[in-house]
Amino acid sequence: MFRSVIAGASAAALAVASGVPAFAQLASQESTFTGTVPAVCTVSDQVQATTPMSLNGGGTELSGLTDDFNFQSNGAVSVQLRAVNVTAQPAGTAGYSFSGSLNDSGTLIASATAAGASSVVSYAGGLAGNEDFSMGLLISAPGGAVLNQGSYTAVLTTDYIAS
Amino acid sequence: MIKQLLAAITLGLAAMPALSDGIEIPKVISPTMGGDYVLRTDLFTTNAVTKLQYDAFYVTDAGRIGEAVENTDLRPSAPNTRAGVKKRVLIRIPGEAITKEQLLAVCMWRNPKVLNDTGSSAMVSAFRYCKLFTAKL
Repeated sequence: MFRSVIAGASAAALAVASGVPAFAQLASQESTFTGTVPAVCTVSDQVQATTPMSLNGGGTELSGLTDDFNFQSNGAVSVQLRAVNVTAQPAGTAGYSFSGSLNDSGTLIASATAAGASSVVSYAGGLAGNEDFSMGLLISAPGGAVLNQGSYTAVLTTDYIAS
Repeated sequence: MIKQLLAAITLGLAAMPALSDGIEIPKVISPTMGGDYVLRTDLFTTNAVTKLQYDAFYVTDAGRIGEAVENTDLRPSAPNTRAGVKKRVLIRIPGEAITKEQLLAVCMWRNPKVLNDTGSSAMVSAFRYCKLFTAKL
């Protein structure tokens, strides 16, 4: 602090001694800073990339549910369960149902199958990150039959849509 | 006192959400002289991403993100992003793909790692970030 005062006084004294007008020290420049904030978001409390599934219903249902995750946004947004993309399934399971779900605080808000995307759910007030979302998948065979043995893998994609 | 203040600020910053995944595009685009659309797009991500995927998609009347406007397999390479640094890409949309003034979306995503032949069943979670814009005739 004292060093700053001394330095300032020294500079002023030097300016006077060198003949530079004192008001020159008061000259100022201004610069205008502009910027925009686009619609941005993040997925906080990141959901685990891979969720194991378990067999239920006497072998007729294979299901999994992610841990909770949150979106945060700075404006109105919509979410959509975009796709259920089956990447691996045993032979003889072509007619099986792959039903995906998107849940908000435990309540189903959108569902999709391997054949089609879900509806769009709007959040006009944006998302503050305090809502717990999760994705789930249920695999079942026609007529409630026992599932064929083997490995099943599906990718569930959630879209976050900013207007 | 100052140390306590700095500690409080640091804690406050640490608790703040990291809002930095996003897409910057014009709200409305028009065709160029050649009739095609060129969308200047800035992508940015919270963390560095290798081979970030992006594309333009149709939007249905119900507001859903629909099919891709073009086949993404034609794209020669996917960009890498650095944390918080905008990555400018150009998305070219053929003029014939737009038959009326309509809503489209640019989406970005990273391809999830899908491990095959793991011997167990699993569901893999993936996310896409999409931004809407209007293409005028």
